Amino acid sequence: MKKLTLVIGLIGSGLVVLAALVSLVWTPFDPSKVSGIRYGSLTWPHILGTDALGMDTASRLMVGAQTTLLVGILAVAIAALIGVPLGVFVGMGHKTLGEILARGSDILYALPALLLAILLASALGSSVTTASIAIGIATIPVFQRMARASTLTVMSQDYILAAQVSGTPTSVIALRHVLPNIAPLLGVQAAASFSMAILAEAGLAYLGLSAPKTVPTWGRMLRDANFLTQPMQAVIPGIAIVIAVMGFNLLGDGVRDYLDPRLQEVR
Amino acid sequence: MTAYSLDHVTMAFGGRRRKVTALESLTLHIGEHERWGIVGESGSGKTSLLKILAGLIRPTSGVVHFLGRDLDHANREAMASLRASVQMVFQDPRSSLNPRMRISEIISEPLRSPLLKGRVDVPTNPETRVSEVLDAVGLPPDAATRFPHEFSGGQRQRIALARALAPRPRILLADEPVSSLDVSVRAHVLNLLNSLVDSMGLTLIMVTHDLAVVRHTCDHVGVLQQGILVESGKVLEVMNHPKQEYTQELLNAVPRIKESG
Amino acid sequence: MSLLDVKDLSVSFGRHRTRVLDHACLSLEPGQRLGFVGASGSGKTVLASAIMGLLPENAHVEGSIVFQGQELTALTDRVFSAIRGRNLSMVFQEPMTALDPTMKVGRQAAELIGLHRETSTMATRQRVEQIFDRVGLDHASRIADAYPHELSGGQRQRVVIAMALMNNPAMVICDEPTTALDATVQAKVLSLLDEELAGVNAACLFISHDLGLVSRICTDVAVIHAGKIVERGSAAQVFMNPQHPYTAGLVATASIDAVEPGTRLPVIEDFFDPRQEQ
Repeated sequence: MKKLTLVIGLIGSGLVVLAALVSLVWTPFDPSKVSGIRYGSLTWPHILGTDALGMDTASRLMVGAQTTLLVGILAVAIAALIGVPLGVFVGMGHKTLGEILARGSDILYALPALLLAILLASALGSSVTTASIAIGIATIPVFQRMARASTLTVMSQDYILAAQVSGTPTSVIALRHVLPNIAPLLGVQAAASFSMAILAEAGLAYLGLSAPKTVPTWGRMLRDANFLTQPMQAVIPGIAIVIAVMGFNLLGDGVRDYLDPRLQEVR
Repeated sequence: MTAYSLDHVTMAFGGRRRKVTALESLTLHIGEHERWGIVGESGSGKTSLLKILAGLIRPTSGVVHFLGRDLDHANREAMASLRASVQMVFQDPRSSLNPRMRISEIISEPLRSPLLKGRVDVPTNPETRVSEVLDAVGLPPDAATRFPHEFSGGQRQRIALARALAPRPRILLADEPVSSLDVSVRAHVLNLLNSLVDSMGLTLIMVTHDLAVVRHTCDHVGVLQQGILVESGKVLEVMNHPKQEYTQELLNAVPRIKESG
Repeated sequence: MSLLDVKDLSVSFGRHRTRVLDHACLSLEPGQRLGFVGASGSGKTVLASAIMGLLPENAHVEGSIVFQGQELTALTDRVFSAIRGRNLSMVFQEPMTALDPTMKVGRQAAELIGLHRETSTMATRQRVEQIFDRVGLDHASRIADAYPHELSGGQRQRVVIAMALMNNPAMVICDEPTTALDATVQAKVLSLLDEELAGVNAACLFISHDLGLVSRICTDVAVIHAGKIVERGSAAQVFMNPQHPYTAGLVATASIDAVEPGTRLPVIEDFFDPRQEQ
C-alpha cells in the first residue's frame, strides 16, 4: 500500500520532469509556430491536435511542463527559505518575536495568493516569475506554522535537554537536532505546496495574471481553449495539471513513509 | 568541597492568576562524592530541582552555589564550569537519543561542546573516547555506527550513560534512570551505574520514586512532597527510622515479593 | 470445566511468520488469579491481545482459546465485541489511551452499561456514580462529568478499573495496569483491584514484568520467556522454590531489598544462559 503511493507519485511527477527535460532539446514541432490547421484533430503527426492558431498541442504541453516545474520550485523555495527559519526560531523559544510573527502570518494567511498576484502583477507586470513570487509569499505561513509546530515537538524531547546540559550552542542544536528531525515533515509539506503552487499558477494563468501569450503554460492553454467547440484542447492541459498535482502530492507522502527509520522499527 | 549548596530555593511557574509552586524554600547541601537519592512522586518538584541543578532553569528566589561559585545565569564563569562538569541521564532512552543520529555522534556530542575547551582532562580524540565509553558500559565497538532504534531499552540506557560519561564529568544527574525498564533489565543498569560512579569517583544525584533503588545505590536521601523537602539525611537512618508518615508510605509502596503468596 | 482454556496457542506476525508465542498452554478456573510474568518482548501482551481478539490483521493464530465453553479464535468481530466488556474485560497500561479524550468519563461508563444491559438513563447514571464511589473516587458525580484529561493518572486508572468491573465480568485481563502510576498511587490502585476482583469474584490474568506486583494480587504465576511458557505453579511455590533457572533469575532480580546496599545486584544471566536454552 505504502509502496503503491510512492510508485504512482514517482510515475506522475516523473512524467512531468521527463516532458520538461526532453522539451529542452526536442519537441515534435516548434511550440510557438503555426504548424498545422486550426483546431486540428488528434491524428498523426499532431497526436494531441492543434490549438486555435494551429500550433502543435503536444509540443506546447511539453514546454509548458518547464514552466510548471519552475513555478513549483520558485514558489516552494521562497516559502520554505523564509518560513522554515522563522518557524524554527519561534519554536525554539523566542516568545515576543513569536507573537509578532504569529499575527503577521495570520494577516498573510488571510490574504489570498490571488490578491497578492494582482498587486504584484500591477507593480511588476504579469509574468511567470511574479506569479511564482506571489504564490511563494502566500505560502510562507504554511511553512512557518508547520516548522514551528514540529520544532516544538522536537524541543520537548530529552535529547535536546541532554545537548543543553553539555552546553551545546542553540544554533548547533537547531542544525544538528531540530532540522534533521523536522525535515521529513517539511519534505512532505514541500511536495504538497509544490502541487498547490502548480494549481495556483494554472489558475492565475487562466486569469491572465501569469505568463504572457507567447509563453506556453498549461493554465494559459486552458484559457485559450474553447471548451464548447473543441473540448479536447481544454481537457488535455487539464489532465496534465491533474497528473502533476497528484504526482507530487503522492511522491511526498510516499517518500516520507519510505524514509522514516522509526517506521521500520521492529517490534 | 560541596558540589551543590542550595539556600532557600523557591521555584514558581505561571503568571499572577495561576501560580504553581514547584519548590518551596528548599535548603540542601550536597557534598562531592556523595550519592543522593531525591525521592518524590509526580508534582513533588523533583524534576524542577534536577533542572535547577543542571542549570537549565533559574530559581524564582534563593541562591544556588556550584562548587563554591554562585550559580547566577549572569555568572558566565560558574555556568561554564557547570556545563563542563555536569552530565545527565534521563528516564526514557527513546526520547533522550536523537533517532536520526548514529551512536558515535550521540556519544561524542558532549565532547564537541565549546565549553570543554578550557579543561585539561578532556579526552582529545573523540573516536577513541567513544569506543572507551562503549566498552565501559558493556556494548560492542560496532554499536558506534548504528542507530538508536536498533537497540533494546536497556541497551539504549547504556548508550545514554556512555554519552554522559564521555566528557569525564564530576557530577552525574539521573532522572528516574531505571523506571522505564523491565525489572530484569533494571539490575543490569543499576550495577553498571554503581560501578561507574565508584570507579570514576562521581557525585551522583538521582531523582526517583523508588525507594528500593535509592537504598541500594545512594548514601543520602531527600524526600520531596509537593515542593517541600520533608526529610533528608543518611539513607539508612531515614529508611530505618522515617520521621515522616509520607516517607513510611513510600517505603510501604516499594513492590516486593510477598513471602506468603 | 475451566473458565479459560488456552491450548497450543501460537501467534506469528508478518510475511516472515516471526513467531512471538509458541505453543502456549494455560487454563484459569473461575475466580482464579494468574500472574503472567515476562520481560518486554517475551510475548505476554500478545497472549492478552489474542484472548481479547485484539490482534492486528497481520497476525497468524494457531491453536485454540476456549472461554466459557466457547472457541474464541473462530469468532467474528461482532460476536466477539458482545463478549468483550460483558464477560471479559481489560485494564490497560496507559489509562489515557484507554479512555476517549472527547467524552466525559461518566458517559463512557454509562455507554458500557447501556451496550450490554437494558436500563433507563437515570438508573444508569446512578449506577455509574455508585461504582465510581466504590472504587474510591471522591465526589463521584463531579468525576463523572469530567473529561479524562481533567483527572489525575490514579483517578483515570480507577475509572478504567471501575469500567472493567462494571458488568460483573467473569474474567479481567490487566496489562501492566500500574506502570504509568506513582509508587504510592500504584499501591492504592493495586489494593483496590484486589478488593474489586474479590467483590465480583472475577478471574484475573495479570500481566507484568514485576514479580513484586504480581505477588500482591495473584495466587498463581506463569512465567513466559521468548514466547514459551517456562514455568507454571502456585505463587508460593514459584517464588520460594522456582523450578526453571529463568524464573529463579526473575525472583532474584525482583528483590533489590534482599541485597546488601552498594553491592552487585544479581542479574538473570547469573541463573540462566539464554543461548544454552536454544
